[in-house]
Amino acid sequence: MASKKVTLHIDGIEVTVPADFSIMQAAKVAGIDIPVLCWHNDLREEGNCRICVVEVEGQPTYQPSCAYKVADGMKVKVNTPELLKARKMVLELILSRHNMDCLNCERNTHCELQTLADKYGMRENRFENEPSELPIDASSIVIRDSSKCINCGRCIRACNEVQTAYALDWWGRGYEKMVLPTAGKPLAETTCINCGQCINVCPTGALMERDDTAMVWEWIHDPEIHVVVQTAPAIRASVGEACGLEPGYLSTGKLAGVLKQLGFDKVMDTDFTADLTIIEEGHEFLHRVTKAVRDGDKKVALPLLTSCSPGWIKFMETFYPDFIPNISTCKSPQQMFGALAKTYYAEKAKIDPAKIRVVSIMPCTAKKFECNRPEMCDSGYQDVDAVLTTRELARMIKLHGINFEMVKESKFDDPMGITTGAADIFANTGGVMEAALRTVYELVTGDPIPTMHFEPVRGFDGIKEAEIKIEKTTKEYEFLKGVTVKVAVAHSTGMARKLLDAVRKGEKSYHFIEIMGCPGGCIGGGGQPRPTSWKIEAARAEAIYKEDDSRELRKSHVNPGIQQLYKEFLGKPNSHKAHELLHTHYYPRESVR
Amino acid sequence: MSSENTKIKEVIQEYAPEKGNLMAVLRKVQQECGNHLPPEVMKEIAIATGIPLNRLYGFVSFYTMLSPVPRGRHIIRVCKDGPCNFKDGWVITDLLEKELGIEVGETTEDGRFTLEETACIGACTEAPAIMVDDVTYANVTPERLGEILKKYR
Amino acid sequence: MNYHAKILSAEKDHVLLKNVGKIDPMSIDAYIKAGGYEGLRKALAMDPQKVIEEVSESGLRGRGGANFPTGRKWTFTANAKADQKYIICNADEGEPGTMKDRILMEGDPHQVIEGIIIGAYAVGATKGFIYIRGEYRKSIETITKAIADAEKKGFIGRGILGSKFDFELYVAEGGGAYICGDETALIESIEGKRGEPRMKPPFPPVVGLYGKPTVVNNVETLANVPHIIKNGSAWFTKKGPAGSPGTKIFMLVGDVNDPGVVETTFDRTPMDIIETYGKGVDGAFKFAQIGGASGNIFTAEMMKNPMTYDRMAEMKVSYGTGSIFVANESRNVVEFLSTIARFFEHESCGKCTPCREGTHRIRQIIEKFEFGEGTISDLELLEELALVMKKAALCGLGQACVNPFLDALRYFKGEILAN
Repeated sequence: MASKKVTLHIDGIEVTVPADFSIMQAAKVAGIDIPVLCWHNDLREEGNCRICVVEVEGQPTYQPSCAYKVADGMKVKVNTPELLKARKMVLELILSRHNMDCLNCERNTHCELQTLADKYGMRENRFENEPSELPIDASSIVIRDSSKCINCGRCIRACNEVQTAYALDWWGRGYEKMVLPTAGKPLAETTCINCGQCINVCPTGALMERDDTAMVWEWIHDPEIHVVVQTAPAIRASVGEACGLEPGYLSTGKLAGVLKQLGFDKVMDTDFTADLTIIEEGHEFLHRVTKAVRDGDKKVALPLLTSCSPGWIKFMETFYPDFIPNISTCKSPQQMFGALAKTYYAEKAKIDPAKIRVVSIMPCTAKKFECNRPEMCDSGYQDVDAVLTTRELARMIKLHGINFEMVKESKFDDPMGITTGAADIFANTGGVMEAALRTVYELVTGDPIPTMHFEPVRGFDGIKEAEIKIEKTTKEYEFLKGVTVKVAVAHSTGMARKLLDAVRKGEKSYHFIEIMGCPGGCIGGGGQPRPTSWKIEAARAEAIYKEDDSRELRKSHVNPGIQQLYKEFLGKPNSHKAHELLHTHYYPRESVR
Repeated sequence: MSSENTKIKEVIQEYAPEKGNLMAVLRKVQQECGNHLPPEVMKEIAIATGIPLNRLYGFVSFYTMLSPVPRGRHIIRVCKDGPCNFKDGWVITDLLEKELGIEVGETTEDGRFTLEETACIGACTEAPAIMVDDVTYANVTPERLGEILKKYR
Repeated sequence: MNYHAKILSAEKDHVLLKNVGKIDPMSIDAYIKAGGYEGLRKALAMDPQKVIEEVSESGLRGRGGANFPTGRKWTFTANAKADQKYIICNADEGEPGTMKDRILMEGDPHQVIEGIIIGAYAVGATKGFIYIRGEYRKSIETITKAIADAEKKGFIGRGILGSKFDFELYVAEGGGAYICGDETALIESIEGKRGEPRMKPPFPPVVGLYGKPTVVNNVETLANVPHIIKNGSAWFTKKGPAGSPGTKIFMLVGDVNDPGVVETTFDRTPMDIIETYGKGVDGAFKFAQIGGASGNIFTAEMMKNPMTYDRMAEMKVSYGTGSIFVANESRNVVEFLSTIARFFEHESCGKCTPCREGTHRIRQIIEKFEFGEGTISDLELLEELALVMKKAALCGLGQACVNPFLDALRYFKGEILAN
């Protein structure tokens, strides 16, 4: 990393910046914002939109400031009349291929292209408007409208380089070049894992998630229907941002409050079943470890891999089906919640489960796919009826004109609203691992885990590893004395691929692996507020850790609601009933299609 | 079909990124499949080479000499660039269109010929020039055209 | 052997074309008998640094159109530190009106190969590729055989001619994309990707094929190398005028009485070449486009200037690939431009906004004039668009494709408007 600094001039302003800065980064230090379209903070730069071009003294042509590195003594011009003319021409050309029906577009008022068109005072287009005439691809959760695509390629980089799902790529050459799913097929027929990272980086309305709010409004307004809503851990740290407040705005109480204000009949927390997942999965893990270490069973499937990320699950089924035996059979917290809502809760509240609709608010687009998986109906009904992303929730709040900052704090409802800090941190990469360790450590050693800040699994490194040497144990787990438990955490399916390739080849071995399909974990999910960047995600993650720090209860196994659930309903962890309602199976999918 | 299949499998095995031969491999496979790369073959190539299918289609759709859609047994390429245009290359194109009953970009009904536009093929001092499959014909006159076509009928 | 081209210049003036049509291109023995691979022997006995110095001192500049000093390009690559370096011969000749590389490959393949091996030795590249456009089937066939023969004779392989230098040479094919003549697009194509150019910096000598230092040279440039090493840089420098040494293969196409290929020196003027070798213009001279589809338009006055680098630089033009495309009085400027516009619209790779959209819009505007519906504002828009593309496009195609249009606006605006 270059700690060396250089000094250069940008539009006459002198700045001193690290030597590995791009001109664009240096300009920001100088207080000048250079427009971007194909550049994205979290992606490799490609320099194809050419809207960020600047004049570098000595260079005969304009250079892309997003990629061109600074040098000592460099003289850069950002805002000359010719450059402004060039940027306007670039915009004019892009707009001439763009669907101009902004008023009917979901990104109206918060679209990167609109913002630039406004900034550059676009008033007329001298070129004939020729948007793509391809029909909208609504085959999948991710909806593609080619008429709004500006060929920036961000989605292609996200899909191929960050997620390595290989579902989108360029097709054709020149003027007719466009973004298409593999072989030009509908997206649903490709290896798309529904992670929504493409949506997160799209600057226009070309990529959107399927909007399910209409369906949910209908249920809310139907007096016969009892609408139960559950909220993912990540939401409390991102709904505020989605409503226009700063990233990292923590709003657990307001979240519960606004959901009640919107008319949901029962407002409960996915955190509850996140705690439940820890109990179920923790015991599943110890069961396997016991067989492997105490009983010497060589056929036990270790490492155990987490299963709460549906984008990751589809990725695994597609590219790593040989790991199916290793995946925890635990459903995701969302799905556990749905199964319990229509059984446990329905019984307790004496409501006909046929009249219950379970809606979940998720930072995730893949959850929309997950809730519709045919096997997710162990309650006798579709366990989760609809999933709304953070963005969709924000739309609902906006529709009602609610000022989110002014919403009165409220609490989540019983019986599935009592939660712990361990559940909160599910939102962050490393959070599930840390939550699991808090419980498993105590089960094995009899002592509470020495720290509530297990640093090795925190942070945004793509792959994180940790080792825990077991010194003291309970009688039950004596066989683990002296054993070093090896764990790993990966986030983004691209990093999952790297990690699993190493495990497959035998280069690495672990006991327990947490994988989250999205970069940063769920707080970086495909349904989260836009724009996004590592910085914004770090703010969201910090809010989550702050929430955990503020909690009285921070370990899943001390959750009284969970204890009650087992006592009254499930019996014990991994019981027959627990397996019926809370566990699932996976199946391989074709990897080349 | 099965003998073509083994040939295709053999050709695909030749792929080696260190030899930079993806284009050559695809071209040879294409020749075994009637001048195009059908979906099943694309899949086979993707599985055998480890190149993701979407990237493979991105590659094939970029280059004019590769085609993911069916084409005729013989590809006639006509040049429409400056020097050939000056020597009335458009007359040859017109004649071909009329003779074959198709327009540039189309394939004859009997599947024998596909007529394509090409960029300059480097025979400009002997314009107009056309290519039929791998052979370049220069100084193409309306009179010679008949002889040329006869070879492929 | 039919090369689909007449060679018009005299044998005595030939360096690069000396063997073409005179020896069997499929025979390595014939090439050796004619003095071939002597340059390689001499080079291997020299220090690689000395080889580069020899080429630098000769003043050889790239023959692919960009005219970059070859010795300097080799120095960058030689100085780069890496566990693997590559040399690539750019044989994706796609510029309309150009066939010199095809003739060199079909007629004297070993000359090119010898140049590649010497270049590889000079920069430290142990692997090389010759990227031949897919339509040049005969060239691919000839070069492939030549490489196999060279391997058998020990000019390619391990410990070449008893030295410590190892070198492998592969033929990579193009697939019908003019843009792959751009060096970074070519590299992408060899890597099995779409032929979309990369941003520069970083330049190929630093980050090239598979991220390794790579030098990319044109066929004709490399064909000069064996002669420079064999005869010494001074021999090369003395050919032609000072500052523009060596011979160049020019192509006379279009309204020339005798179209064909000419090898001569840079002190010649285009009109002189046409009259000496091409038997003059067919009809009355109107204009010529020199250098390919993105070449500048030359008026009759301009045609009287020698094609030295200095003179070209003063006139702010380039001779490009050396193709001289002549148009007589019967030619319509709008029709001429429309062919060019269609060419670039078809060949734009589509990566960057100015070129992807611009080449399409230029074609649309010119088409309006073809149908007699063009207006003054159309031309103003065309000029504005062209000037933006010239500075803002990502690669040479987008930047240079506007040259003929801007030139035509300068000299033939009235005719265009009157169409």
